[in-house]
Amino acid sequence: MTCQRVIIINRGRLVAVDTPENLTTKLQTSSRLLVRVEGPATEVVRALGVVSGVQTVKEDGGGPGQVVTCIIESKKDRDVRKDVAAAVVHQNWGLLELAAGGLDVGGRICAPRHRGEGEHGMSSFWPIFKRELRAYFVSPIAYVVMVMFLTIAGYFFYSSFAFLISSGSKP
Amino acid sequence: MSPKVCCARYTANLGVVLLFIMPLLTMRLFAEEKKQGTIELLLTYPVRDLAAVLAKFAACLAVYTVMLALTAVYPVLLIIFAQPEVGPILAGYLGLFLLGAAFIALGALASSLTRIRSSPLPSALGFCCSSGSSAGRRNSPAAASEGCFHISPYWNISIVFPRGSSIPKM
Repeated sequence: MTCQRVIIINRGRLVAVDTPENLTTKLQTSSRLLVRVEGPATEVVRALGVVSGVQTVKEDGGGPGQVVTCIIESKKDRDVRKDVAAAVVHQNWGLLELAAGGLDVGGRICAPRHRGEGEHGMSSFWPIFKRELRAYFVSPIAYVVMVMFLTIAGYFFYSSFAFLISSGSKP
Repeated sequence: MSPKVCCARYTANLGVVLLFIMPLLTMRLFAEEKKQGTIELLLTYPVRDLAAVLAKFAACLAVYTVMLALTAVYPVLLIIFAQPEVGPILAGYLGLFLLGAAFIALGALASSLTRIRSSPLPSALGFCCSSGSSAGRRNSPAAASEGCFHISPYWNISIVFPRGSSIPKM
């Protein structure tokens, strides 16, 4: 397994840190099954809908030939796989695939919030200000620009008033 | 040439210098963050975009203010060794400050439009000095250059402040 720990950050706030398994069990309110059945689409959906424990059946596109893919939602602590398989076999349809379906965790944790809600507002101004200011002075850029500007300003100060000096009048 | 004209000339010249110097300060504001990939980090902080942009602007303005304050050494020298009118000098510095602020704002805009750190340089220059072209054609009757002249921050601010109202041809 590649991923041992999931961290979900929403708008700069940590909303969940856990293993993927814990996250799924914690956040699941219903379990989802993915079923691929060879059979007539409408009848398959109707037959799966009446299996006990099944809450909703959603057709999720067909496949080659007479293959229907359905996503079944059932109550969280109820394993409906055996009943679903029995129902399909009972009708003499072909059960091609039966797997735990995808999870819709993101929508549950990171419910879209209003822009601006939960943000610090203008109190975050000073930290960014300090960071930017530091960035100017840890790199030579500010010093280089200042020295250039001061040198040129010095020259122009001289050249602007040199006329007065040579003509002997006092500013 | 009166002393007052000399003061005005000094501040006006500094305004022109700013035209070329300010983009050096502003070019890194957003372009560098984009290049380093830290812009994502900044924008995912619980920070309002307005606060981030204003903070960057204010930091640049602070650097600029320090820079400008250091050049105040020259007017101070002038005041020590002569008796110049203080009003035009102060007005000139206020003008330079506002002009610099306008350049920073435009430079930040130019910087936010691109990813490469040095490429905001020419575009910021272009923004700031629609004056460059309009200055040359100032006396031409063409409506285009006239319009250009009116929207140029350089001329609008530099005419009102550092040059003062008393400046005829130099």
